[in-house]
Amino acid sequence: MSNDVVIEELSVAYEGGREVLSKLTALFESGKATLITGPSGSGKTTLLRVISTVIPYVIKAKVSGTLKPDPTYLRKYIYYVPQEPWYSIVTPYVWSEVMSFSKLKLSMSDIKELLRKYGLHDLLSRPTYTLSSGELQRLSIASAEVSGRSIFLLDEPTSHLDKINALKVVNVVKGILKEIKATVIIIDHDVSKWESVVDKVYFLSNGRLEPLRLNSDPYKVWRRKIKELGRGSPGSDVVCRVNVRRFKYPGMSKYVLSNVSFSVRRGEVLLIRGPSGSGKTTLLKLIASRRSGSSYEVSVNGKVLYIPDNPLLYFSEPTPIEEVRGRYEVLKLFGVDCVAKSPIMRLSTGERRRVAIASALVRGADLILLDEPTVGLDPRSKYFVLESIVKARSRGTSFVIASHDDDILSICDEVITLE
Amino acid sequence: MSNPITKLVSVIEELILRAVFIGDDTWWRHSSSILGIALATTLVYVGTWCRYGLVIVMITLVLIHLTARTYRLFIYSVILAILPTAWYVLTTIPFTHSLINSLIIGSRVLLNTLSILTAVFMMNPMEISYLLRRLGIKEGAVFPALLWKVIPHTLRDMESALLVNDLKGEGVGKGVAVSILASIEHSRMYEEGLYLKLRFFNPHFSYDPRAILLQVLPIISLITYVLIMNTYF
Repeated sequence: MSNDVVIEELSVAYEGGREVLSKLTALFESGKATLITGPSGSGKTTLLRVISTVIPYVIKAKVSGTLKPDPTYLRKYIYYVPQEPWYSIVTPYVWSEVMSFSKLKLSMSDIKELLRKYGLHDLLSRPTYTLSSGELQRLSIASAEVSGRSIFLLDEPTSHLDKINALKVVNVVKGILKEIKATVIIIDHDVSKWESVVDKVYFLSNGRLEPLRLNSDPYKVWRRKIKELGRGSPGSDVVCRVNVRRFKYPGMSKYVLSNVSFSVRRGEVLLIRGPSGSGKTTLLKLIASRRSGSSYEVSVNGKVLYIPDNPLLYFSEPTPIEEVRGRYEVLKLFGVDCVAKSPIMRLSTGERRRVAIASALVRGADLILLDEPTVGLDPRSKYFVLESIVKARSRGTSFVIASHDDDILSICDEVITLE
Repeated sequence: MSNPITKLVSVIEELILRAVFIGDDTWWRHSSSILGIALATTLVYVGTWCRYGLVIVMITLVLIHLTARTYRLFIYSVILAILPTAWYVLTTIPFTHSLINSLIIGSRVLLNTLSILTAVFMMNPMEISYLLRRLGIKEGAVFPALLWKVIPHTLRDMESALLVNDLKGEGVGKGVAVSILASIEHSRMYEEGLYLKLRFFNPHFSYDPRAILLQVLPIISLITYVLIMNTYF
């Protein structure tokens, strides 16, 4: 049977919500890769959920139209890599994750060889829960490679990866297409990254798919606007000083950080870059907890607030308006006044981040620590988050941002690279 | 952290993480869960019913951790075990009217908790998943493996939420509340992310002879001790 996926007149509406996909028709051919791009919230993930039969079997929604092959066949042959890598990993160790989902009979040395391609070969015995988002994303793709499946749905498979590791994943997908006649559907905001792999590109907007040229960039305007945000003019007084000679977690053999030293001035945006697993989040948490030890010192002059990569964990109130202590004008400043009274759980990740920055500002933070603030955001949403940072910076708030996203460079006054 | 309750909750959460979940997949983790339970049961039996049982159990536990070189784990386990021990010592004083008697009760609680924790850190979740699958419990087979991954994930979220709320000057309750919200969101996401993947879950595990010896030798020694004590004393 062919692995062509055919969708005809597909409409999807979530219960009590608006129509996300509207009479959408598409053909995803076997042996070819298709890239789907489009603004956040345009229904890209919904489309993958329908093809993977998650809708309507796990998530209830009103669906009409036809999908071929039938759900039983699709469930048997699809490998779905969701946007958030934490939720696609089952087992507690790296080796067991690959071994338990492989169609092939793999030995430990086979797994090590497979993981070498992804730069994960040294992490064979690591608990999966200690891996960074980028490492989990690579593990998920490695698991897909040996799964024996023939239809791959990849929802932003490189969103947590730095350029080098993203390229490794792109090459693996290229390899899968070459080796087996697989059907690959990829969601990503960056068309150029996948130019050498995909055969077709679609732009999903208003519930419909529009074909795009391979070398086109639908977000050109927003990318330019991000570049125009520009750098600031930090003051001279120092808000935070960090000097880490060596740091490791108790009970772990490997040092997470070594020889990291910097200071942050008032109104400065400092970017911590580095490949996934290089200790970016650890460094932020070290600053947040103001911990000092025999081989590391952290001092913060003023109030510090930390916004984790899952911004939901930042909140202490049920709605944005309560989170900003009734300061509606601050929500307006950050463009989230329209969701002022919505429950936090109903906000998108981008909206949660902007509300969190607004809240940190209201609470008089001198230093805000942001972990991966732009992951999974399209350039438009990213612009709004970065614009919020610029606005807060102009009021004298300093930022330390951990990210692998090069777009953040345009607003940064200082960059620290972790190896 | 400024709030003492937040600090206490964070310390306990960190201890559980480090005592049970953190640490590489080293040889002593490739043990048998069933033998682990048998070992804990034997330790509790000896500690409760045998003459000099408490001393024997203490020596056995120390020897196990010395052999496995899990010194840090042992320290974490002792700190964790002190919590129920202190509770028992304090709450039994009004009934025993004697600090010595309450301390004896406390020492039993301490060693029993340590024995159970030893069995927990010897758990081999992949082995349990494998056994459940072999028993035909296909859907349930995923839970031991998944739990070993989800619990630390949830605890780590809780740690982040507590840290954030402490920095914001909010109470520990709000940190716990938001971690519960995050857990609800996680469960939804896991359901979606694993819906198709779980259909081809085929758990694998391996035993390490050293780990099995580390379980079998103490069990045999303890049973021998019980037999000798019951026969000659």
